Amino acid sequence: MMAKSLARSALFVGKCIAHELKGAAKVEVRLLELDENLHMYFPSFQHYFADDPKEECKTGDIVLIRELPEKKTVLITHSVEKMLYKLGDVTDPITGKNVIMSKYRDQIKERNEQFGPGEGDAGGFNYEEAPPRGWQEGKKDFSHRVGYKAWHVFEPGHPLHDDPAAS
Amino acid sequence: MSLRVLMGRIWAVNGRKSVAVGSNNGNLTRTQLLLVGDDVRHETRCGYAMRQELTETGIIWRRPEHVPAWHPRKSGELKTPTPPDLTRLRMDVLPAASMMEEVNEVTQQLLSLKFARSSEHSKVEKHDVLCQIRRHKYDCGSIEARIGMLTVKIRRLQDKMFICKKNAQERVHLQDTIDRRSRLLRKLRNHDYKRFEWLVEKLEILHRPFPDPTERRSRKISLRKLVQLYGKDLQEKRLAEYQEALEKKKEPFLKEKTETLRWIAETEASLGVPISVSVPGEETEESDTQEK
Repeated sequence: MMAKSLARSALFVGKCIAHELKGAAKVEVRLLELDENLHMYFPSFQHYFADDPKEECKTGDIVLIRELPEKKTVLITHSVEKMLYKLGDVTDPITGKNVIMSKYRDQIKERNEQFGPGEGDAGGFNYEEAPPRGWQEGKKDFSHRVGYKAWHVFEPGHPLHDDPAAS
Repeated sequence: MSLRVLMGRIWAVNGRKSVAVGSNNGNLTRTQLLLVGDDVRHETRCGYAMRQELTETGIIWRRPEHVPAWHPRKSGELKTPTPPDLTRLRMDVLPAASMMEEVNEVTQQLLSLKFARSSEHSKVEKHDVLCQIRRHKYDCGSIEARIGMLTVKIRRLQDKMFICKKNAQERVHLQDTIDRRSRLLRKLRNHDYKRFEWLVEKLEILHRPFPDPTERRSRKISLRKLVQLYGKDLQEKRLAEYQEALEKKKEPFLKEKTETLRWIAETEASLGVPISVSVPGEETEESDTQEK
């Protein structure tokens, strides 16, 4: 009983992955398992469906989840406690500046200004004018869908007719 | 797609008018079985038998056409490459572009793309794409610049592949390039999501996840999935019908209920017993009068 209640109060940090369930986020939690023969830890992955009615979690987000006192559905057993890191605008916690890989955005901008744009250049990408993240989801970016091999030729009008997630 | 039952087996046939082809037992020959007609002659057999009990309920599997991995439909190209204008100068002559007015017409043509190699065309196309996406004038190593150049390369190689499909060396090279680009796109999405979305929109690439490599496309599994879909549709349809039927019954039921309750109330009143039921329509009127 105690172990169960402890497990319920436990929080997991995981990464959101693609799934096909509505109103939920599929979270991949990485755990380390001890191999007693080799005395080494090996990663093992567990998947949970967390309740996310507004569908704010996108593929690649890092979230904190907690087990629900009662299952919402057969699959949805957890709830999203907190969004830790949103995919996209990564911020350095010490300076509070936006980061891309190992550099600050300001540094990259400064460097670009030093060289200057070429003749007839469109100017490249501008963060300030960019729309909020996810504007290409379902248009040209299908990372939120689970990819599969096309298995049937559906009639026009069917929701799976010419499905972009099928390759 | 139509079907024909033959020798106890059903063969699925492409097209509207069927060409029934079965085992050559009995008196029937293959030629006798072919339906003669201009629109039918070119149709070919699918090569797989269907399950009779499923075809009777309208569940017919249609195998998707094989699309090679290098094809633009697989690699996610939404735009066909546009060849550059042939009057444009070659990339290596561009620094001397201001002097071109002084030279004669033949030299101008020789220095333009008209008589240039294919690689010169490629350079111009790459330059055009880079102008749209590069960060500064010397940028050719940023992740988006690399993706842009690979996209030009992929589209040019795909054009070549349509002309000569048996060029295995080019095909492998093209496949490698496509894989490299998709790896870079995934990397860019993880590190800089907003820039990735902007780039995908600019270059008109469809970015989709890889299918499960262990997944196999087979008749058996596909038919199972189709049966599941059929069952789901049937369930939804029957539930909707049942709900509609219940909605129709609702009004007469409520009417009958009111009449019965009124009768009970009247009977209890006539017997001098306290009224135990409340009639829906009258109750509101009574409560209104009490409030007044």
